[in-house]
Amino acid sequence: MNDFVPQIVAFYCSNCASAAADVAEGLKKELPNNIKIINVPCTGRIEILHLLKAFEKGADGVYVAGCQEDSCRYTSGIIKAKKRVEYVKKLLEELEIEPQRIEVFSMSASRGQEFADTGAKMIERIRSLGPSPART
Amino acid sequence: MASKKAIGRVLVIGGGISGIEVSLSLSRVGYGVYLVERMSSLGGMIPNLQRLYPICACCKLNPKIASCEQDPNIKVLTNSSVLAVSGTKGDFTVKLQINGRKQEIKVGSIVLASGVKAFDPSLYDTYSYGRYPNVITSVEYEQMQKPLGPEGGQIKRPSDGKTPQKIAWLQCVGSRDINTCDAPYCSTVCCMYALKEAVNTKDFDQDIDTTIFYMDMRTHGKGFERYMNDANSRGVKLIRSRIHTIDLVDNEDLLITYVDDKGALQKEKFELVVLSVGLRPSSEAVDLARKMGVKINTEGYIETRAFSEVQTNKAGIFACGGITSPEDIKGSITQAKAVVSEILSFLKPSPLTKEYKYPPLKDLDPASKILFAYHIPEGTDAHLGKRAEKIASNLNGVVKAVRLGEDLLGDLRKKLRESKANKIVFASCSPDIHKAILEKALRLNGLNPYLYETVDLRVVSEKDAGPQLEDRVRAAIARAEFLVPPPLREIEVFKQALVVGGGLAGIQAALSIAKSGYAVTIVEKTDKLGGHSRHVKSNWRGEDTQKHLDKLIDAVNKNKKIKVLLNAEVKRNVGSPGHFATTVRQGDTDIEILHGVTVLATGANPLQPREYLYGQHRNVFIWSELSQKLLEDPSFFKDSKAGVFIQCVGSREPDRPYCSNFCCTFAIKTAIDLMEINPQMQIYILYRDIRTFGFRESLYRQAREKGVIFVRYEPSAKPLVTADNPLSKLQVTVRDHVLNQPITIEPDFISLQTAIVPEANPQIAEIFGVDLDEDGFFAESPEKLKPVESTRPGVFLAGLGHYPKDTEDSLTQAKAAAAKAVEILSQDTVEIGGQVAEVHPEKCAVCCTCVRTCPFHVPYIDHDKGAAYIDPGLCEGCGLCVAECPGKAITMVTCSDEMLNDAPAFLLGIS
Repeated sequence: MNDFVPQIVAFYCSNCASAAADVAEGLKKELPNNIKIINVPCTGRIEILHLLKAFEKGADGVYVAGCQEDSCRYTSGIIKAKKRVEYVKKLLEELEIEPQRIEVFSMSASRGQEFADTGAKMIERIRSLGPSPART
Repeated sequence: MASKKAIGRVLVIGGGISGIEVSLSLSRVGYGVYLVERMSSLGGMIPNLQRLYPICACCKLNPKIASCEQDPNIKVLTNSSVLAVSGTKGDFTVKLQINGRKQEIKVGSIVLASGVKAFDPSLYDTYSYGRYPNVITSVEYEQMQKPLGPEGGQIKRPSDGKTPQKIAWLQCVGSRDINTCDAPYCSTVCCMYALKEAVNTKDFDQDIDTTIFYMDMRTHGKGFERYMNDANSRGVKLIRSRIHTIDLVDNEDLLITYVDDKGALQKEKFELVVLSVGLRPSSEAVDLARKMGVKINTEGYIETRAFSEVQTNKAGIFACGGITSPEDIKGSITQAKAVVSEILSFLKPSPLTKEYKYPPLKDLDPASKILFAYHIPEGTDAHLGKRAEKIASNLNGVVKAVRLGEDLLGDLRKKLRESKANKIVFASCSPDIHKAILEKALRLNGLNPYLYETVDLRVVSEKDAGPQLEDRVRAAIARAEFLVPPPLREIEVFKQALVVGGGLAGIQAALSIAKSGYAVTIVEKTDKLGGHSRHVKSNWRGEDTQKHLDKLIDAVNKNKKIKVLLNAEVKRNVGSPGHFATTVRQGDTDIEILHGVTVLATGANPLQPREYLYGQHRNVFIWSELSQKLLEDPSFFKDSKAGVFIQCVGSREPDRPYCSNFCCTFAIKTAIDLMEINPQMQIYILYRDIRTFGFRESLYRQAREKGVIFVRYEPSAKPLVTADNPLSKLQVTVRDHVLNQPITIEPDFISLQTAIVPEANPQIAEIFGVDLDEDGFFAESPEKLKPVESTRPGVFLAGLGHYPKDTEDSLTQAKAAAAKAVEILSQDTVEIGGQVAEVHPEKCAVCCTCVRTCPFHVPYIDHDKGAAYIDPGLCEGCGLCVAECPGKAITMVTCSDEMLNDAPAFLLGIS
């Protein structure tokens, strides 16, 4: 299990999450290369199907990184994203896939450390779960 | 009038937020700008700050700086200074020192935007700064809180590096003090920043004890009072006090001795003390201003003219931001925009470069031909870029992979032309700030400006960058393959503004727009112009408001570009920026107005209270009535022996948790005026906190010197007003906070400073599709730091409907709104489409999900088509409706389902 390198797909919004990446870069933080980023204008754009597709294509874990709920440039994007991730958790459960494989995080431009930690946290979590049962 | 305007460019001195905002706005309306900054980079004070109130907006500065640097109409001159200025309005000659070289430029106007510095408390014994290591300034504290600061966001006290468990903030250090530090004024921003620092500390560690020692908490701005209440509920303690001494105990801790609000001496130990230092004008800038013949006021800031917070005594020379008075960021931005409006009124724009002419769009070749281009600043390690280039050049669809030089735009155009590419994939360390350049390059080459994708070169693993870069480049190129040009349409700009509301703010906005050369219609619901400013005797500086108002109304009546519709109300509004249609009803007729922009200046009313015998006793007034009486019948007060002002009537209450901003200043100014009529009169002001922010503090001092008695009351023990009958003597009983016993006053009259309530806002918001904030005032754009923009593009805000503010601030905001309006009106067409959602009517089931989902209320049901419609001119491009539409009837070509569904496969290497 120890040499298992989880493949993780991360959806990032182009506002707060991107600004957090700026700070992370300034902190000389890096994202491990098994985290694969998909940029979206707003996390509210992400659909349930997009999240499921990532699992279908072989992701062991998926996460969405958006804004703080009080500072979304589009007011409610991150709130929608959180609802959808909750829904996908239920679907995964029904499919007998651990719901912890998907998560949503609020980033902030001022917290670059968190940006890097989020990735590490997710890798750790998925590593302990092992490869996704959806992987063929 | 307009034909005689001089033509010219503008010199902006100071590259902080005010200077940046002035420059960007000037460029948008066509001026060439020289932006001079003493330091080696733009940004001023903000880079020193950790988060900006109220929510995080730090991400907004860098894109603004980048926009300045990329704008061909802004010449950014860092490491530069102004040596000498000669000439007059419209024709100045300026000697500059640019990186040691001397140069002369010609400009039509000059803007002083040199900002502020923090007060240096080392000159100030009382607070032991410099003597005890654990006494630090608020600026040092913010540095510590910054994630990129020297402590990496960890709060550590200087003496031993330990995280302090008890922190005290001391307010008014270097403010409101004439004895020791020669700063009689209130620095305006410190109460809010101390609250912000304390709240951020709680975010860092909820268990850290945070206490703010203050004289008056001044949370007088939009949303500030709520922020203070929230801070309080988070456990931030607020102690009203006077600091006596700070002593060192146990080698490192600090014992604060203070006098509490009951007059008792108290002691408390803290592990770190933060001094909330006040603001000072930048001294170099003040010296320069003096050399230019610009007057400096007694507080050491630039003196501005009556009813114009941005005009100096020298015609053609303006000032904005911290150099005019202590201002917060939003105040500085508002002033910056107001300056643009002033310049537009006398100077015709002369650009630095010729305007770009875009060729017509070519039809897209169905085969993707991608130019992979990357930018790594000169002098930094380019290995990531080189690797990305190598990866890209081996991928299908890529016709060329290149590194770009420092002239990004020029290079991109050239490479696009040479390679005959029709799409761009661009990699850099901050691709977001380069988007405008990519769009322009595509446009200049006759391509649709949205045919690009970006690759982020940040946060790449140092050790093993290969696979990560490979993923990102492959994914971006795959996404680019999916790109189809989104439809774009040019629509004509209706060169007219609609101003709703004919009060002071509306009149000023209309005049400023008209002086810039555009037609304006003012819609006023009553039978005359002026609104509530008709009750205002003077501004806080004592200058005659009625005279100024008459002058403005006269100018409106004489201006052929302005049409006034009295007794008229707005009924309906549709459209998008540049292209609005509004129905106005005047009497029995409906008038249709086509306009390019809207300014909402609908005002607000003083609350009609149901307490303190208002409406029951003839000598109990609300502030506007008292003010009116003072204007019309000053002899009424000639024989009054005593008067009482009661503050916060209806404001700062649980159901109205905001401060009405100008009531303290109004009460104090009126008290002084009354004592001039009758020096024997005894005036009592019953208050909760005195909020005479900025230079208004001098009135407070003056009133105390004149013998006005200030009695503080707690909301739990409000003053009691009684009278035997409506004609008998009034009695006011209030518990005196110093004597701690009730005192009884028998005043001849009472003035109730009631809350400002925006009663018309719900209806206006409904018609114009804008949002209201939690207190019922017009909400500002969620894009942040846009103090005159509503939540709907093209609709701007001025006056009390946005938030209570005094005459000066209303006028400034009105000018700022006018400048934003002219940004749109000065264009002949606006382009709509691009990164927007589109409804496919044949798939739409009219379920209204999009109507409910859209945060900006854009979609509506077009009953003729039997489908939802999204106006591409209004869509903000977030994609929420695309995701939510159950029938998949809405698409967004710049972020399509194909891109998102297939991206994981590309990233995970299964294609």
